[in-house]
Amino acid sequence: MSFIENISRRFVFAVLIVIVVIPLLFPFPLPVPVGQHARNYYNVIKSLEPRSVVLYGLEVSTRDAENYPQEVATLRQLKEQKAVVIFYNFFQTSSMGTIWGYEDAGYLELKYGTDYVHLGFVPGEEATLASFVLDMVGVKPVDHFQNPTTTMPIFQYVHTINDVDLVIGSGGGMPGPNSWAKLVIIPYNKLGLLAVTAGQSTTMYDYLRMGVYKGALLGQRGCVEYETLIGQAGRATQLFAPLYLAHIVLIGLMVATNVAFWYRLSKKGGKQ
Amino acid sequence: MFIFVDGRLTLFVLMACMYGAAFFIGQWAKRGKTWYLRKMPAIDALVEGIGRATELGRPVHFSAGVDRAGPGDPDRAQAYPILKFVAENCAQRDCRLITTVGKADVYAICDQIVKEAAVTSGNPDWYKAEDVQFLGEDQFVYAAGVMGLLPQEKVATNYIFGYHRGSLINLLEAGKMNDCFQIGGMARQSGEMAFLAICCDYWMVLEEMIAAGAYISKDPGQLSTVATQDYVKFALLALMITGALLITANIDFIKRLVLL
Amino acid sequence: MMSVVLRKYIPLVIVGVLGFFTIFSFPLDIKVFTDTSTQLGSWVMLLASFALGIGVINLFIVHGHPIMKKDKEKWPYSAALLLSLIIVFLIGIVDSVTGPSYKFLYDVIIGAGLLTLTALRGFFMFSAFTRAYKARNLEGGVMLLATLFVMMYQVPIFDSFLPQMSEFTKWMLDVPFVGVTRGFAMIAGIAMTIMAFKMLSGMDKSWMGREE
Repeated sequence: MSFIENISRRFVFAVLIVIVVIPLLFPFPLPVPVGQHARNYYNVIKSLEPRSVVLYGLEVSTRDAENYPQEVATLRQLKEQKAVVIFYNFFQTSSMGTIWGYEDAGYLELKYGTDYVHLGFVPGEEATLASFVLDMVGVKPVDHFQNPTTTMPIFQYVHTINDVDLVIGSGGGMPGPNSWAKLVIIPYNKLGLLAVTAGQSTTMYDYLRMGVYKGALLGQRGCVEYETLIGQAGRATQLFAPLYLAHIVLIGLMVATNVAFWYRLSKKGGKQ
Repeated sequence: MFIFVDGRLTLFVLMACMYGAAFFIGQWAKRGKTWYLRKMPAIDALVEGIGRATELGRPVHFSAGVDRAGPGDPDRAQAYPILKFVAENCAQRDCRLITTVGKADVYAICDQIVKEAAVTSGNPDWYKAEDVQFLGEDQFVYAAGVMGLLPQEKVATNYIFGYHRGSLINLLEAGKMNDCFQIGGMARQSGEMAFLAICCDYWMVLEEMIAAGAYISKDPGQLSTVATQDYVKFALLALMITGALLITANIDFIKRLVLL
Repeated sequence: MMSVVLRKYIPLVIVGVLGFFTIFSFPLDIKVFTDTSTQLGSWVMLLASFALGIGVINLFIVHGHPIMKKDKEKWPYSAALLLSLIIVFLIGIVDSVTGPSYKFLYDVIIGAGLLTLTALRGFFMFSAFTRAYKARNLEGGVMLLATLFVMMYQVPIFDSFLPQMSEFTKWMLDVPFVGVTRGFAMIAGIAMTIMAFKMLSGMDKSWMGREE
């Protein structure tokens, strides 16, 4: 039992490598029931009129982590709905992640400046966001590619947050969806959607319960449910099997180490 | 409504009441009133960690977080007094302190705090500019820097304060792998809080982090800030309970008042 | 006397006035507050950009030392870091940050590096949860149980033979958990409001450094 309680770090890493690699080499489908939050997320985007303006606060710095498949799936549905998308990033590294996402979602076929615009990294985090929503072109006179925003077709009719129909807060921490809720969605009573990592989803339940965010993709599982709804199996679905197995093995290991721990204590008369 | 944005009058009144309470309780503290703060094992253990590092002849590492500086930021506001306390104790014992920051604007503040701590503890030569390091703007770049620094400098004690995003587990596990004595704290609710409980020898969250500066300095002004927060919480709690009971009885007076 | 005014009172006045303008621009519908607050947002962008420059200077100081002293253990790593910084900077200047070389650099090196660190996080979490997550007391036991429930909720297979578990977890996330997170949010919000007031009004001058 002491082997289980003092399990070696190397053994744990080896187990994790095996359970992640096997489903990648031998993929198998996993049925995932669709939850209410993902369904609401899908329904809100489905209800958008063509040419609705979407302000997408996006924090994606790595491919294949949770936010990236969420971005690609969301943009695919937004493209079907013919929505106009404005991208906004709190972090420098997210600017490139945004580009990966909309390239993979097929946005290069659309007209830049008319159908979408990538504002890129906006320094100053929340302080700048609070000003940006009151005067978008004033705070961000050039986009990520150094094109002037004043002459872009989108910004001939989108000047402030009042001209935006939907705000999507995506990310994993502060600043992120929390900032969008506090500074944009609640004060200006905007329609909001949430796409967040599983770790940060726990901090966002309050906003979901209050109805600030009308729908949510919570972690990779949320994205898998959403990909099922849009009928396009993306990276989240492909990579869900390793996550599934890792969860099961981790639950087993946690229970086993705790059983071993309590067995040792019971033998020692309760002393640690 | 007049000069107020619709729906924000009550917010303005609440803010004004909080500011008034902060002012008057601050004056009360100046006239000699003190408040008792319960024991905080994590703060008491800060010196223990520095002592361990001094005995082993290895440095202490202090992480000030990966968030921007901001006057109303509780993580940042409390990481600074803790850094000052740790720096003074390290300077007194001539124990090396490596301070790392994840945002460039925080670097200047932390550098100043460490420099001043050296002077106030009577050991100005202890301060070295290269011991306050800016590691990178991205959370994982910062984490990579710390993960490299801990074994390279053979750090004995690892203090993780301020806000860290997803990279917190990287920092804490790296510290564990290097057999560091670890204390961590976070003043914001985050999904990463559980890692502090799992990986740190002592940890503090929210209330304890917010009161850390007052607990360390026992300064009447800072104690009055903590007291003001507690009084405001009691008042809001009373308002919430009253509102919940009235709403249950179908009286929506407080609800309409709050939505003014 | 003048130096005290310059060092102590002028920064206080600037920070206080501008801070309160920004705070009160939210509930008050007064044009001068809103316009000032919007303008300040642009200035924050400038300050943040300049702060990055300070960070770069610090990197050169910290990593220049081991190179100049020819510290056998550290100088190769410091040299690699500074060389990477210079190369990326030059590529950004020559090709611009939106050019193909910069994009290639980001996709192949920076993006891959960040992904590696994100993946490392998974390993560390696995290790921490398996080795260190033990129910040593009642509170630890409750935390462990809650964690297990939430993890099982993420895995659909547990729904099929323990549907009550998933209902209980949903209730736990929707009711007590939301209550707790609201409490946390209130605590942090009250603390931030009062601390901000004290700093902006000058009642707390700890952010200004040592008194002389």
